[in-house]
Amino acid sequence: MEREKEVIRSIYHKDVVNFFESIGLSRELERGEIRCSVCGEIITLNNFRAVTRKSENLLFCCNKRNRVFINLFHI
Amino acid sequence: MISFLATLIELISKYGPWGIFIGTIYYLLKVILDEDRSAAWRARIYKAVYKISGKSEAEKKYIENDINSRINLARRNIPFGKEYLPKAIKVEWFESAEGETARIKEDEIVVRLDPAESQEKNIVLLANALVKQTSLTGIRHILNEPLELSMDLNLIRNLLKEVGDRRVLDWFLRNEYQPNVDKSEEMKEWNGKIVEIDERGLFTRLLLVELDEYSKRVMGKPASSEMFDEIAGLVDFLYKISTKAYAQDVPLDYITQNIKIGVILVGETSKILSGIENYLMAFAYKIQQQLTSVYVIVWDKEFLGNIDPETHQKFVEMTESLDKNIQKFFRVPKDFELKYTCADHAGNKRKAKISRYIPEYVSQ
Repeated sequence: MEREKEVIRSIYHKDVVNFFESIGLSRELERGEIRCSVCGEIITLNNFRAVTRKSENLLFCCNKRNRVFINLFHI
Repeated sequence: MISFLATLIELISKYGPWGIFIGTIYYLLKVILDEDRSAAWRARIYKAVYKISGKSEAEKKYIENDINSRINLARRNIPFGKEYLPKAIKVEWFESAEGETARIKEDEIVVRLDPAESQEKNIVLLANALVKQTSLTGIRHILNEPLELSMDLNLIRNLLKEVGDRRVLDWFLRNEYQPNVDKSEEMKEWNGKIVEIDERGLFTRLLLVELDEYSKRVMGKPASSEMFDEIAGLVDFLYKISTKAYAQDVPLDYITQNIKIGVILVGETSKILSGIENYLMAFAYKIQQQLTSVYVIVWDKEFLGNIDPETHQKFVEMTESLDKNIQKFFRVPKDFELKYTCADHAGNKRKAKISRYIPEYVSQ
């Protein structure tokens, strides 16, 4: 019997470039136009940690060293 | 693993060399039929392949199977009433067809995972995501941040404790749990209460069960300060029970507009050994108040079994008799019964049992 499961889509660390291409934001990423919704830091290929959609807007979050994971989910 | 070895030794002593064969078949069947256990084996194989070949496909398969198996096996030890909390997880790699724009759904969280060498970080990250997305559903908008965070953090801690890897738990406690708890005095206060409730075994077995019921009752209603007060009051009510000293009186009913629960505590050996009538009268009173659930919590003195096995046996018999009589006289179905061990407020180890009864008028 199939259990009810929560599917969490994850990005492989070597696929970050493809991910931004697939959501159509690779140029914005290159130009430094995407900012972290928590601290305002410019999102790069190296510091990108998570993305969510709220009221149709994509909100990104960086992996600042002092940021704890749980705060990602309270964007 | 230990239970499997014990079974294997028993089979060998019984059937000789055939025992090894039967034991191996039994173990293989157990693994094949259990998708989480078989995911654990797949993870081991892909990890070895990745270590030898360094191939990305093997690394992805290892990360995915390892997370699925460890978190899903761990959650089986976190009872949430009749079910388990949080839900089972399935890691899926984000992929899109060439030339097509991929879509991220409303409220969906897509996370970037680290290389296999930082797997403990990946496990913590996804435990966070899972708890956030599958627990406290329908009440998050009512809670304030410190209370919501306290419940999330303790649920994640419980889940990671069950993962059974000290590195993962240590990483979480050092980098996530403590920095969050130390954020404010309010956070420390709420977290302290949740920890006490959790240590008595009432966090996932009672508080979260009632909050789930609560979310169904208030579904569709806008959040209000009265709603927050109801939830905060429930936490305080359970905190008082959890920290109750011997012979101290604490409230055992919690009645608000949307929460009506009662608790019967069975902890004093001498009291229950003299008869169950007082407990039955307490139960009758709770039914009269039209409570929607009544919990009977038995805190057994573990050492009693060693120093006085006869009294201990009598204690167990009386608690069983109480359960039978509740169901017989009041005709209340038992929703669940969970046995566990915990430490009491004084640090003594206790065997415990919690039963939830739902009176028939609730479903009418």
